[in-house]
Amino acid sequence: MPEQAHIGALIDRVRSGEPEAFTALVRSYLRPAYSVALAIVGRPADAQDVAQEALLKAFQRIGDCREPSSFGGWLMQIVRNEGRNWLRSRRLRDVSSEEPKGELPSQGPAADQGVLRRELLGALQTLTEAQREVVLLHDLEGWTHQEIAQALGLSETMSRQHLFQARRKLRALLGAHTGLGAGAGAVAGEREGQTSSPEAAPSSELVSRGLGGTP
Amino acid sequence: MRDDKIDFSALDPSRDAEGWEERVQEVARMALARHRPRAALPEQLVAWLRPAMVLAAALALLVWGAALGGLGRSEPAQTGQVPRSEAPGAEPALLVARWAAEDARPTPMELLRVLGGQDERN
Repeated sequence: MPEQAHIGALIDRVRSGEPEAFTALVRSYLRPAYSVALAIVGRPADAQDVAQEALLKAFQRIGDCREPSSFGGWLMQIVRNEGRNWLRSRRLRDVSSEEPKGELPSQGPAADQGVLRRELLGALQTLTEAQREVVLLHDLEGWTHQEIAQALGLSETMSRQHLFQARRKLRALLGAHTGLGAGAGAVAGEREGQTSSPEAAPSSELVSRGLGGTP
Repeated sequence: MRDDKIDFSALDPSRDAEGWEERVQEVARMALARHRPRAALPEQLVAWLRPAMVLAAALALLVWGAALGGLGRSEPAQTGQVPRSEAPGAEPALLVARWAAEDARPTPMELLRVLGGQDERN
């Protein structure tokens, strides 16, 4: 997360319409916005669209953000609202939450990545929304608990607790299915009571690669 | 408790660095296109100046038209009413304008009123 003073200066430059400032602010916040969006909508492609739309809305309303130090939290609230609206419209369209399988290659490293991705997404679905937000911002974005707490309106203690529980659940889930293959997602999802989450297929492969202990 | 991070790199959209950079640039471009910078104070004043001038001109025209309309009216005939231009509070300028328009010769009383009208009104 960029420093507050830096963000303040960037916001001033954005307000005056400086193109480089737009790019810098997007570069700083598109990924965190994606993480929060992914925690809500559950699909990477949708999360990218939600994050993009939320950022565009934030830029349009940048005059409403009076405190640059609260920009992160203000933006994340827009992302959450956008994500929830997206979910509602998706439910209305009655579209399956399953990602298109046709995009995934059937063999090779790309296929492995696809499987890994599905397994991670499925495992994430077993968490609460707050746990997903915290674990993605912390472990994917590298934000500190202080930054997460500020952005999500939590206490640092709560952020730590969510991270602890999220990791424990993910490890328990993924570790419990050692030996399951790539096609076992539905089984894993059903075991966790997540029948609507067809992407839940944690495996030993994921445990060895995905949870292998990034320091 | 194991404190090591969970590896979410498979979900990281910036793994494709080139594609991600393109997306960043695209979002910034769209945001810039939708952005309308707030005008500086002098620009805001200039923006207000034109409508203010138009409004002032319209008001001036309205007053001028009303004055002309008042001059064009015929004198009230034997009604005992005091002509509007001569009523207490009437502008001396209107009296002068009426004399000019009607080619009328002012009475000494009227002249006095125009020259020192404040006294009489009060």
